[in-house]
Amino acid sequence: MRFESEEIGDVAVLKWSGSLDAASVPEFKKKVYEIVEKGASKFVLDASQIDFVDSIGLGVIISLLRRLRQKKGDFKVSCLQGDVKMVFDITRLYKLFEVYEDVDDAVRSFRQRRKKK
Amino acid sequence: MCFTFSITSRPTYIPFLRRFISAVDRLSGRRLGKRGVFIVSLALVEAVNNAIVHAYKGRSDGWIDISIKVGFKHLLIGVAETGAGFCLKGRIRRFSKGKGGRGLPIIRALMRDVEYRTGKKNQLIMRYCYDDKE
Repeated sequence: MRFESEEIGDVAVLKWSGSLDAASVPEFKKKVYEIVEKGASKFVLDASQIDFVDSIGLGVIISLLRRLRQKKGDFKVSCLQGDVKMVFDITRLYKLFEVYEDVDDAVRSFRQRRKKK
Repeated sequence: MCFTFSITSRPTYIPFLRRFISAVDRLSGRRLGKRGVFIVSLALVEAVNNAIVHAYKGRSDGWIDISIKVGFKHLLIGVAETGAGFCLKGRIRRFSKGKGGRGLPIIRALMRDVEYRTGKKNQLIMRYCYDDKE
């Protein structure tokens, strides 16, 4: 598993490679919550390198989304690939998350929302 | 072809389970294919997660027995535990109302048939047909 994070303005872009499942979730949570504790509330997950996800991995990003929305932030998902996209479909997570084709669109959507206000 | 083995109730076995399904695919002459390997691996992982979280309530000293039978048209996967049982239909009903976990509904969506037998051991039996890839 490999984790990279990058700040684009006030948006934290997370890139996780490999699987997001019950075995890897503790490490993912540790890394992401370190960023949350520093005060970040706007996140984009670049899922282009995620090749496997299970319900435990989904549960973690759902609880992160709920926590961030309470802080007026959000957790958006981008670059879902074939098999992982299918899991989002069958669990109907498109209804819960904002999902984008690429990272730039997801980051831009935070700015557009700010302009609307 | 039939494989049976046991693991303890720890999520650290998940990478092994995924590699095992890839090996079953190779041994069976690639009957599953790339998408089939993903689907069967996910169903197996969800069944094991379910045993760890719900049957053993997160305890790591429970045993989970796994069996995989490779047929000509389908694959049968069994995941058995001796922990607390659950109601399969009830779990899926809860999900359809927007409540509860996603593990069993994922299994239900991916597998042709799912059956849960209770007894001395509780066993989740899943059937995957090779032509169910899409």
